[in-house]
Amino acid sequence: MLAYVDDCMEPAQRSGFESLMAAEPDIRRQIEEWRRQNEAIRAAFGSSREWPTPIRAQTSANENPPAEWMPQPIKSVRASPRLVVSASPAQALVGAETLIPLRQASITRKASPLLSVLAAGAALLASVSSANVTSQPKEMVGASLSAYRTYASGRSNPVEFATSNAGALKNWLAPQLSRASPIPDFSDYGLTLRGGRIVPGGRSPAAFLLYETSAHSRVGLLIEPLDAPAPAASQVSSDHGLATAYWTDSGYGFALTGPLDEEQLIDMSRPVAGD
Amino acid sequence: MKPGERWSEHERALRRFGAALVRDDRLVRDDRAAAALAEPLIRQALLACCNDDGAAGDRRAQLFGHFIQRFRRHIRRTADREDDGEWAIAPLAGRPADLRAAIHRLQLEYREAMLLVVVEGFSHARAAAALEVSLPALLERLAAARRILGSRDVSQTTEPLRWRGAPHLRLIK
Repeated sequence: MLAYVDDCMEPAQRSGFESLMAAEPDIRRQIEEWRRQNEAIRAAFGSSREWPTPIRAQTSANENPPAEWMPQPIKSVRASPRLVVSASPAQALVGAETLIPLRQASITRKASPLLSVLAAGAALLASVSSANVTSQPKEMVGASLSAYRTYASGRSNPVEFATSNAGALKNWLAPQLSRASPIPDFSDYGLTLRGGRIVPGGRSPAAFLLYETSAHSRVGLLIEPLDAPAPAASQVSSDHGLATAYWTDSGYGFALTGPLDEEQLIDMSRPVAGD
Repeated sequence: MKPGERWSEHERALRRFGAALVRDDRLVRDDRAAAALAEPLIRQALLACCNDDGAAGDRRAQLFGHFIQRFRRHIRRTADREDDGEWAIAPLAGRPADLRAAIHRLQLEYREAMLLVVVEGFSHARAAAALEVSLPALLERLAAARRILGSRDVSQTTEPLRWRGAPHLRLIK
């Protein structure tokens, strides 16, 4: 219904929904109410209102800057096939279905098959069109590299709280972050937890966990609480011998940095819910 | 940027969105104050958008995203400077006079979603990308905002200005 009211449906979906709406007075009534709401909001804030532009610094020459002024992306990014599957429209559909209690139950029961199809379409659209908008991955990867170079690869004290006990580390981190951070277990990859510290994240304080192999090679994991990010497949970038994998899951952003090859990092960058 | 797409159009839209978003009827109580607060954030967003690495993509959504991130940072810093945080949950007397006032009293995450989708005409997917939230999260916020606006129940809008990623904006009793 939201997609219909906000004009986010394909024509075919729209006509299908309209035929359903014709048979369901409850849905029709709700749609009409939301449409009136939209019109009232647009009338209150809409384009007819002139907002002041204090200084006109632009000229006709710089309103459309030449393409060569725009820097080109430097780092290569590769997606993990396994995680692409986990972020598929089907999973997003499950997320959208959790919204159903917000609607009236009677409407939901009757309209659920169509809503499911519409939600899947919207999720697919989101997965296609959400690229190139956010700078969050870049900021978190930069923060993780900085934290690794400062604490994991130098002679400074690598952790504030040294422990191999995930529960103890979680309790130590919890009051210092907006949400308790999960502590992933990488023992399957031969990594032992050495402790953690608080570091600056991309936009807010973040947890930086340090793991070590039996050969004392270190791997750092930056975990930053985010607003409500969509689950994102792993992206790997390399910088002067350090590779970093970035992914999001369960409301957190993760950036795993270490002297590992990309295949291994992709394999380690997995959903961590419940860890 | 697509051929024919002009910065001035995006800038005008962002100015309208910015002034509407930052006004909350608590700290920012009139349009002139809202425009004054939004203006430097708009300029920072324009500069950041021009300097962005990714030349490709949805430039309008990028621009709005830069502005939203800067405004959220401003809110966090403002909350840091406050001693008690009570300003964020101070109840507003009476019911909102009209729909405009009711939107100003919505909590930030609902207000930004409604303004992006309804006023600026962003699709759900573009709005979710600009806000850096998942599509289900955006739909949940839109549904909640519509429910509040439909009932004009102010008590639901006097929740603190907070979101999951903001560590400092907590309900303090």
